[in-house]
Amino acid sequence: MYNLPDERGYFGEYGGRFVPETLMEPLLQLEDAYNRIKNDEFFWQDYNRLLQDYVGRPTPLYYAGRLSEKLGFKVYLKREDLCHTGAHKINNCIGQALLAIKMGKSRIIAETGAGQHGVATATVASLLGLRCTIYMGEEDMARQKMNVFRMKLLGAEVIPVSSGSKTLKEAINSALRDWVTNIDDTYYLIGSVIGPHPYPMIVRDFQSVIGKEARKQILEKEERLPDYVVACVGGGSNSIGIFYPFLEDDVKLIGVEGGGLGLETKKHAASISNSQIGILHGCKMYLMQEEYGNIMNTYSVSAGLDYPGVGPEHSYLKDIGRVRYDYATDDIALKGFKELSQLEGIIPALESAHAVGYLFVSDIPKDSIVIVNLSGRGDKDIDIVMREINYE
Amino acid sequence: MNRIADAFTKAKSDNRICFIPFCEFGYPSLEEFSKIIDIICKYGDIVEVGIPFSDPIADGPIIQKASNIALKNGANLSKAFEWLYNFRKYNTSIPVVFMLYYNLIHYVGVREFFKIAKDIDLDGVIIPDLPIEESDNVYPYKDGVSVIWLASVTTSDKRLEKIVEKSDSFVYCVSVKGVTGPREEISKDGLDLIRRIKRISNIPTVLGFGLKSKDQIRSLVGIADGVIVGSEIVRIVEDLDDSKLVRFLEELKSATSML
Repeated sequence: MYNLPDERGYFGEYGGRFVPETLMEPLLQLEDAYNRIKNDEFFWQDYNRLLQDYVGRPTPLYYAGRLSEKLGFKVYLKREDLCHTGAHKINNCIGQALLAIKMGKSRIIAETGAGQHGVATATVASLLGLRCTIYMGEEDMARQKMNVFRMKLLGAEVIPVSSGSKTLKEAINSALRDWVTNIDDTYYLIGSVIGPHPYPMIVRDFQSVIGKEARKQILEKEERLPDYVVACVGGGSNSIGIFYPFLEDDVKLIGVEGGGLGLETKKHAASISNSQIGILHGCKMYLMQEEYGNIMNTYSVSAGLDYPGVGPEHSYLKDIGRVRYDYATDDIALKGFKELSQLEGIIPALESAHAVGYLFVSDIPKDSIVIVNLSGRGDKDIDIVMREINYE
Repeated sequence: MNRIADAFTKAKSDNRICFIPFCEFGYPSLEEFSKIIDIICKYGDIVEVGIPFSDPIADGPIIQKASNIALKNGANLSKAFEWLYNFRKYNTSIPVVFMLYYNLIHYVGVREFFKIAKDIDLDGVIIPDLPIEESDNVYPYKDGVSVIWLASVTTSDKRLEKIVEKSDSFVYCVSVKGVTGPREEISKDGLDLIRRIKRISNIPTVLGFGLKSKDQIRSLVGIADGVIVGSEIVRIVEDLDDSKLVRFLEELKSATSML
């Protein structure tokens, strides 16, 4: 039976805890607190009640008829875009914020790339009465202005990060520096399945509600499991969330990374397809690096996929061959964006559009049943897409 | 020969605590660095050389900036090894330790890294993002090169025992919750950390993170076995004024003596 991570926080050779000494005790405390709530039915009652009444779960599993007709196989969309705040990120934020309160913390901090995790964190902070600081790269702030305003409106402090690539990677560096300085009252709410143990496990567990629902829903609709589950992969939280409950089933799982301008251009964010292994932000994982081990500045049209690493569990699932990882370039993602808008009346987030676009270039056989995780909605990306398609 | 242990013994016999200045490799330029380190070696009992990295999560603004500039200057681990190789042709006495993030070692390959380190006479490494729980990643390969573990004001007594047990030269005591960078006061928790280590071991204790003045150093004489001064030196190095640097180092060094 699949039972990872191990007690040292490893998924095979990936994961671990590569952090400054000052963070070790807080991580051990977090692990301890999480182990205690894991079997606390009152905790999960609170969590599930908020998911239902506040987030709007379960989200529908929608049969996309016109898209299916065009592709020649049946496509079901897991509608995480219908979650409150517009993406799957809030599932994890609710869980971790409740955990933070259990641990007696009064302030939460988070990093954000596209701004979806920042918005979800700020939302939950406002809901639960916690102080909130969000770190965001200046480059991302420029391309996701609306989300910056949303966070401020929700009462969060947004700190621009101007070092290095000015994107998600630097935002995490700054959040880690804040946490190491303010560990007494501060909880670091990581938004993806990355970071030191126990974060990849905690985020996976809170996101696996996506896959649990989808599995039940497809059995109701089709009376069988799907042939494929497809999801986009940046750090990897929406994909692990939907994959995890299917890991022991006979279902093919495909993770789609951000292929940017193409792998040969080096302007992409497809960490697994790039095949290098390294250590960043507390864990060992597939990681894009330059010569001498400095971390590469990645590129993707979608800020949410623009990260040089990928969660340790994904790294492991790649190596054991359980999940197939491929990529979709910006162009393919934009095709997915337009097709879904025009065929189904659903404007997807650019991240999710990678998974949708991938369907058009994949080798998925006719008559298959495919679930795609539609991890978020596309309002935040309208400006970028307008620019990309030269809309007049 | 164990140069680090000898440095502590010698300082003790001179009635001083060890002075460990830090500088960033390749900063402010590759050439300037070579000059600066030669000045620093005249005052330091041990010298700590930071290897630039793209994502220095344990460092505050001063060292982040220096690291960034050093990378732009083309500094990297390979060039740092080359520098040390040439340095050892004329200075075999001072212990040199590299401070570098774990990915830089992993990239070279842990076994290969320590093999080169030993060949060119590197005395030790400080890996700020490698806690004792991950020591198995490096221990089998270190082969005579010291791995210097960090202990922090947040470290529990239970984990402190493990850290002390694995330490073979000195324990780097992180005096604050936070990143590197000068601070006005030495925290009580920082002093307590040293006392907690002293209670369980004779291993030398060195306090770092946040130190910047002779008064701070003077207050540690008789408590710690050594002090690391990093960011403040890097800040002064930026001014490219050798005499200012020399005055600062003299001042700090003199503060390490027992009265």
